[in-house]
Amino acid sequence: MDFMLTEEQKLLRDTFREFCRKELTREYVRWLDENCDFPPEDLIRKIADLGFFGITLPQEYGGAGAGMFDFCLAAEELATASVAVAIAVGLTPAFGGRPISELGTEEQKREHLPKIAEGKEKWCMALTEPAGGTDILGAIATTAERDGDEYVINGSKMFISGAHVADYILLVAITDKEADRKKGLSVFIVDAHSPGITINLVEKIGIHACGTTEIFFDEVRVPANNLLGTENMGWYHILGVLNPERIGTSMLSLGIAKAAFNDALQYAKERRAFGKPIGQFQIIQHYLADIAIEIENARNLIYKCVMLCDAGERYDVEATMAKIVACRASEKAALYGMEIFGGYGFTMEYDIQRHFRDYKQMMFSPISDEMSKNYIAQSFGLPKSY
Amino acid sequence: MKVLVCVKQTFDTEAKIELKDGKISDAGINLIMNPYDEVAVEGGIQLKEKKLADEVVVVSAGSDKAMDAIRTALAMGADRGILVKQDTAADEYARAVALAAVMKEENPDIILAGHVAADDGSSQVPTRIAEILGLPHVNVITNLELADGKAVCTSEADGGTLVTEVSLPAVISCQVSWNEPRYPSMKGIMQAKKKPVATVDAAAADNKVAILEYSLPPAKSAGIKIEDAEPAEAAAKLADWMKNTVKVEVK
Repeated sequence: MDFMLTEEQKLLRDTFREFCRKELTREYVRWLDENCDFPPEDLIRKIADLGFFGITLPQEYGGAGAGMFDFCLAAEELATASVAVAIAVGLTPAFGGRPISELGTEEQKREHLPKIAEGKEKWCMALTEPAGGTDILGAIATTAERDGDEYVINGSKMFISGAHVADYILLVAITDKEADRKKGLSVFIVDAHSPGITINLVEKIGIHACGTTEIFFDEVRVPANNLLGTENMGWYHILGVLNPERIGTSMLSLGIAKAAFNDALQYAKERRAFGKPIGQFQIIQHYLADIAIEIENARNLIYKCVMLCDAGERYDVEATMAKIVACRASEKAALYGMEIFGGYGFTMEYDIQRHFRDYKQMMFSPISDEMSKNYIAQSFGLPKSY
Repeated sequence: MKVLVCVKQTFDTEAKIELKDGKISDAGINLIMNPYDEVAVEGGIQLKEKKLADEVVVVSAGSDKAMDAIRTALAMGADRGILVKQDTAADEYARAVALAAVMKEENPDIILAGHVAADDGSSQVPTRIAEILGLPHVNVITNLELADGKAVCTSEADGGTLVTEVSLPAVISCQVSWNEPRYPSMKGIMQAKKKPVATVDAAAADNKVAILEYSLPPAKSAGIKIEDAEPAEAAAKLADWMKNTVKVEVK
């Protein structure tokens, strides 16, 4: 594997690093956490001007035509500065840009991709339902019934990030109730402002600056040509979205881990006890070394997935492993980080409390570790355990 | 109209300066484009965007590492680059001679630069280039308007604003308040790959300045605490300490 960056990749990483240093300052990120349910439009605009939303989109639709590797270099910097911002701006490339590039008709591509590349459309994905996310095939109840030139959507969705600000919802719904569930789902492009849609924010303990919502669909009419891909093939289509998403969410956990590590390291150098910086004590050093090892592990595994992805190889098992490794790194960084901060870690004065609140979302979003392991074990040829 | 922008690769402004074997160590130091020059690059690109300029060329004199500064400028939107290979120990005179030789070849209408570099802060190169080329020089500008083959430059002056009209070609060096430099965009970075960068050897010139020694400023020493004093008495004690112990210069 070659992890050496090209000159262009170095410049891309340095540009995002510098951007984060100037724009996503500690004070600003704290302000976001305390006051916002989505990053303000002026920040989204600035990130759009960097070309973030179009990194992997084809050049003919206004994108840069670069790979997942380039996208992840930028995302890693954003996630380390603010995981909430990274999720918020990652939704549109993941749930708008990639699905439309891969599944869209020429007309759908022309309509959406240039606007996505410019950061002028916001997307979210509505898959999980109140009855479940892990067992989505068993839980899904939202239906799309054909009525002339339209589909009529009824049902509800749960834990949908960013729907409250979205222009479009990538919706997964049942189109064939009789068929085996895997062969009866379809994907739709739904205008988030359609009559019959109600979106409510769900209060949560972390990642405040990228709100999570519940969505209700009541007789929502969607034009038939807003079907994305082939009718009843939605499950297989959506798997193509979920694998890159797994790389993306691993990167988010990595960002939290790095941020918590950086804060803990700085504190260990500054805080004094018994006449010396606490970073001089062996147990603190070991805490930091343990976190650093897991960060390095996670980062290597994530970038391996990215390289497989860009090479067009399978990476679903590796990406599922990366999800676990990165989450555990963020957990260790948040827990040990709190230990290093001692009593101050439990106050709102320092940012380690935010990492401690934030990492938890990524433990089960988009998939729990337990379900991830089931999936990994299945890849060995073992019987499906769930 | 051709705009030529001089850029210098400098230490990151957050870098910790350390001496090794009596010289400034660049080990582990992140290098960036001099922030003042970044403003000049942005100014050049804006002239092109306003259709007042046809081409923006960036020039840097230094080691191969200076190529990064050129690439950054190209990713921001400059059209092509020239790297003048020169020993980084070249002084301001030798640097100006090398850059001026390139400018004679290029024959630009406007030469832009930051008015100072964030590393040595000597603020000489643009002025020296103007002197060598026999061109007018306007310094520390905060605005630039072009019309009828002339440049109208605004600069900050003591207690007011100075407006200078100058015929072109001219050397114009800028203050950071001129504009807010853009970040290179993803598209810009991809396009920069295809933009030409020429490499030339520096015109020979001996340094006029020999650096004898580098030293770091003395470490910050502890202050004093004035306690149990009435305001007037405390102020007098503080003033005495500042005058006689710290030896603050009063102008």
